[in-house]
Amino acid sequence: MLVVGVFQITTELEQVLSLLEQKGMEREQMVAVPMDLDANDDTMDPIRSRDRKAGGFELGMGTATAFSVIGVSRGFILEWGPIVWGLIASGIGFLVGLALHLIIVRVTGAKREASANLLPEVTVLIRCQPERLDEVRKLLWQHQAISVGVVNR
Amino acid sequence: MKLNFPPRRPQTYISTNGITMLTRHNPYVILWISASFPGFGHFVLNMYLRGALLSVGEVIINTLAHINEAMVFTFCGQFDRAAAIIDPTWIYGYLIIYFWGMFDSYRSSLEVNKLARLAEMENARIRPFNISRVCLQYIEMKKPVVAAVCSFFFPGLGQLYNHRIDLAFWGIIWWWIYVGKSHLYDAVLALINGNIALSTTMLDPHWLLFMPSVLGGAIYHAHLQAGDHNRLFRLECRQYLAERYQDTGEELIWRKEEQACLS
Repeated sequence: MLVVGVFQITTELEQVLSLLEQKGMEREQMVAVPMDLDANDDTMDPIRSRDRKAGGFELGMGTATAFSVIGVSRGFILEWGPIVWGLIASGIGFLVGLALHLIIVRVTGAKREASANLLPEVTVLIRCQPERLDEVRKLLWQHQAISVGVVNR
Repeated sequence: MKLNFPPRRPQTYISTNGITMLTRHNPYVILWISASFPGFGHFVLNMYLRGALLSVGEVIINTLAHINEAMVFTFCGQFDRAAAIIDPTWIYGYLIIYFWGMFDSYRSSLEVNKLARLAEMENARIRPFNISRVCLQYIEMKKPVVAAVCSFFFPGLGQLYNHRIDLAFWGIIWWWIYVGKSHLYDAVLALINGNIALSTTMLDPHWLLFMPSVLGGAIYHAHLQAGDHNRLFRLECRQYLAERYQDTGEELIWRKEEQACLS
């Protein structure tokens, strides 16, 4: 029997592989294949990595900071005071940054990529005896497998 | 590619204090963050000592030169009062160090980007765990939004969420100083009670004006670092899986059990 499981990269993945080994599966009977999720391995490229994809958050925080400094300062002579004007200005600043980001995305045509939730990052192949099939399958499901398949031969 | 032992450029160093990371950054973002608070660009580059010394210098000299008060007067259109409050003894040196900080963080990010690229190609084995007398440190999957929210409520907590002990408590201590000197929380309370005039007179403009940059910087830094930790976690896991679970012979995986001579 060949059991195939698809996982995200999590600590649970390492747990299940270790558990299988502990339960007597030979390491040589298992293969774990880290998968690239686009043509260029995005894990290797920190700038393009989906872990850095912040939408407009990065630019929004930058402009919010700048706007709120001005808002706080002017707030000392405006009726509502520095705190309220600081908050209003940072809100406006964040929206301005967000809008700038959307314009940049539109102009440069950078495409939106799939979110990191439930992408198949690792494929695990396990060769096991038919009588252990259920045990192996159950272990995979218990450790956050996205999907599990079996080759019956 | 043949691995160097010891690695010429590791991508990470994990210690009792947390993770220090060699990774690429957008130089213009670094420049902007350094402009908002000297030293913060260096923090983002993982140059913590330079960042800490530059940022404490900023607070001390800004206070002596009355930069923040002058900024408040300037944005309120009271230019003569702004000019009067600036202390010439401290302003020239302040400006030189301020712009040098921007220049240095920009310059460093360009070089760090090249070194990080080399380190990525070298792909030295990442050490994911450190156990020592006083702390456990490990790379784990983090939620960038949670890191950002932690730093939003109290700058430094997002850094603590990211297990960066020194920067976290540096941030927390400084935020308490800003809170104590600016009376922000008292002023917020007065505002909630509907007493706007009292709230405004309570606030100390000098110390209050540090706070937007610190807050924004702390949120941004926590969010970015949490994402970078996630990438590191993936990278380390890929190295480990490829190292440990790809030794199989073809026959052990693809042939039937009885043909594969298993025990």
